[in-house]
Amino acid sequence: MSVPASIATAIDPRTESPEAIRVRLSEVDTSMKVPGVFFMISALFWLMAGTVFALIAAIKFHNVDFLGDSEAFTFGRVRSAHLNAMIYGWGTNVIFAVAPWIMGRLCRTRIRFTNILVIGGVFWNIGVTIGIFGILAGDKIGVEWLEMPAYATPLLAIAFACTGVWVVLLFRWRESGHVYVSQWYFLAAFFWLPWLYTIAQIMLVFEPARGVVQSLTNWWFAHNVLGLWLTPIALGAAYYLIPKVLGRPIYSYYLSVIGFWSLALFYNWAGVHHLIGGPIPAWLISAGTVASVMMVIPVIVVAINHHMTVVGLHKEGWASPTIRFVVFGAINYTAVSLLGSAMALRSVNEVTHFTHFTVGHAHHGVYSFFTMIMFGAVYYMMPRLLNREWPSAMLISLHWWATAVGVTLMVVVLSLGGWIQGLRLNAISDDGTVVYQFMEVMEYLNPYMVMRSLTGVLITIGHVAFFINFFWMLCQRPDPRTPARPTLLTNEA
Amino acid sequence: MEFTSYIILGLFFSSFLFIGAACVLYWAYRNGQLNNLEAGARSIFDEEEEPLGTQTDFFPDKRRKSKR
Amino acid sequence: MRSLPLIFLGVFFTLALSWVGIVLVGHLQLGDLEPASAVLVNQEAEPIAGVFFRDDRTGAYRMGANQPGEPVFPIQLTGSAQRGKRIYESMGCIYCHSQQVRRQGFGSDFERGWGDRQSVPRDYIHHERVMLGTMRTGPDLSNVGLRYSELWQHQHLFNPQITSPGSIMPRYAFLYEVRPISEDRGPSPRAIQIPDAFHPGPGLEVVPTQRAVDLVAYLMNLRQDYDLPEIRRAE
Repeated sequence: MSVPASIATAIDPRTESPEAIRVRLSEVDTSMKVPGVFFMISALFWLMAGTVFALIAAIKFHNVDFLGDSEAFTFGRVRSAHLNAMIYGWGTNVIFAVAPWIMGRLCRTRIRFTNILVIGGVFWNIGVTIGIFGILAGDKIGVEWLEMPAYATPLLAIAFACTGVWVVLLFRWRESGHVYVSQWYFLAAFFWLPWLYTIAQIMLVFEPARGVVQSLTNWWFAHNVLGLWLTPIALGAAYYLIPKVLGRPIYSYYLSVIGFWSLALFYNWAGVHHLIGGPIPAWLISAGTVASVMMVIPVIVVAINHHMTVVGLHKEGWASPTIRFVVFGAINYTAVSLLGSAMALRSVNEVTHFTHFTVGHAHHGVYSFFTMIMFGAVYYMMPRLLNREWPSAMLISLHWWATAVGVTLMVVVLSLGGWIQGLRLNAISDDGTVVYQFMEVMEYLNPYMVMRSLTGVLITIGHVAFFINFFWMLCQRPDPRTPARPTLLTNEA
Repeated sequence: MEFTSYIILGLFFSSFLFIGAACVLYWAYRNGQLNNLEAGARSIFDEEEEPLGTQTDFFPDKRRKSKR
Repeated sequence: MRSLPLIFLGVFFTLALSWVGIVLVGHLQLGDLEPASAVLVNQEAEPIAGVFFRDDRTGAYRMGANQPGEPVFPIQLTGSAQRGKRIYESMGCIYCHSQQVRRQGFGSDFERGWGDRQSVPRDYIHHERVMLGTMRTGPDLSNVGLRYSELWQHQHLFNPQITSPGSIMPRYAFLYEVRPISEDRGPSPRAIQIPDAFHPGPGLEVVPTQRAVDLVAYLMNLRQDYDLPEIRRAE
């Protein structure tokens, strides 16, 4: 046998003794314990760091003197530190914790050689740390969503190679005959991100394209990080968690096939809507608008599937922290996506473009939808990895109420303020002069900015509750009276 | 190059892609990739550990009270 | 839907399609734009309207050539202005300032005096980093070099309240050196005037660092006041 083949056999879990083939869920859970806890600790620290950056940036909108003389914490740097800490620090780490675990459970294969995941995680976190220090130090790249300086990217590439390949290999070694819809979403996402990131790095950083082709590449990339990385992972997690927690199969499996492929086909064209009105050929903008509107198909399909599965089980769902978070996220996926399709229409975009409406929309998508579903997934995963109960129901409730109310208010405040901002910026009187001076519009927004900071404080409270609960759980000793059970939180206890 | 030749080129490539997609779909159908889809929906449940029809997540203190 | 290669092919082709459509075709269409004179000429050296002309012999549409002897635009940034672009990038100016003028009737860009013609792809061919921007917490900067003086830019960067009271733009005082006026040589010729209300104090002067000089040089070079063949100016 050749060397690569023998290595492949050695790490292939199927070469074990036949009686071990039927892998129990609890074995998958145990095998994911170390990397899962590692990624969750990293994710939580990034969540807190990102929250601090967010608060600093928000306060600067109504108090220019706040950290006003610090170069590292000038608005332009803190804002991108916030974005990168949230997307690449919190979001991607929590994905690295949740996705291999769900993948392993669905493939019914225990996760072997988890050290590779941990090594990948170490590289990833060093890379993001260097990247964010680089941003604060002024080495940032002026491309939205790709601000981390070029010296951080090789580390990120190594890290993704370790973790991403592992998830794909898990699928290759699956024991289950069926392939569940979540697995398509995860596989696709783990193929899409490295490709997007590599092309964006090549065409924007190492060999920058000429002129506005950079902007096209930028928004093709940036919108797809949301659409082809965060979204499929969150949808896949919701497709697993909603039926799993409620004990009821997904409403229509046929629909989920249509939903998946229509998302794959349309979402990646939508990014051009960030350039409507800009120096871009009109046909490209039309293509982006059409794709954005076509996104209604996968959104409606997913909405039917998610919401119809929950219908009739609201009381049961309310008793589950996971379902509270995941259903909140699923509802907001429907809302944010339909809004996003509307925002891609030229007439709507004329008002919302360049305003806080877009900022609100971004938080609606990344927080109300993606992050809330990830919170739900963590509430389901951690007790099973650690064989321990969450220590405080009160802190879970606080987390849910503070973040759900906080982010909803934030989106409402930013959308309302942004809409009025857009109308006032565009208002032209009959004699061809502007109705509101630029500064008047900005001064009008001041109370909205104060309210935005307050909602940010509310969300921070929720994050602190989550942080405390998580580390309290880690420090807890397993209760010696409870025998080790495969899964916790069932009603048989 | 004339504009019409761009359109002809575009039509050529799009029909190529369309035929390719149709072939793959046909293959998938013949291969049984699309058979018995609904069974996949139940594949996430596990008779021994997390069976169909049982809620598997509760707030820590409410575990005993809930019965379905 | 159980086959890994099938899923892989699907996800590969869907993303490849959008990459080809948006990025590659965009590059084919726009990647070879060159600086151009305000009016292009056909093969008989006659001026043409727009970018393309119809070749009477073959009936094909062809791209016009630059008019000999006429200046071509846009021009390449050099020296200080080019370094200033890097400062603009590293300070994150893009998060509040766009660099694109939309056509008249779409938004209020013309009415606000941000430009008197729409920005076109050719305007950006020399930008090593194209920063069109997606947010207007501050005004558009496509033509900011035409609107204000260098002194205004320095005062505004040192403390935006000097020139724009009530602005929420952060101050970039860390790009300036506040130092005692030299007793031997007197005030520095490079020092900028600061109104009394914002002056750091008697016996002190505010001198821009090289970074501030570069940034202002870049801002003063932001101007789309030249004509290009594809532009139909508003009458």
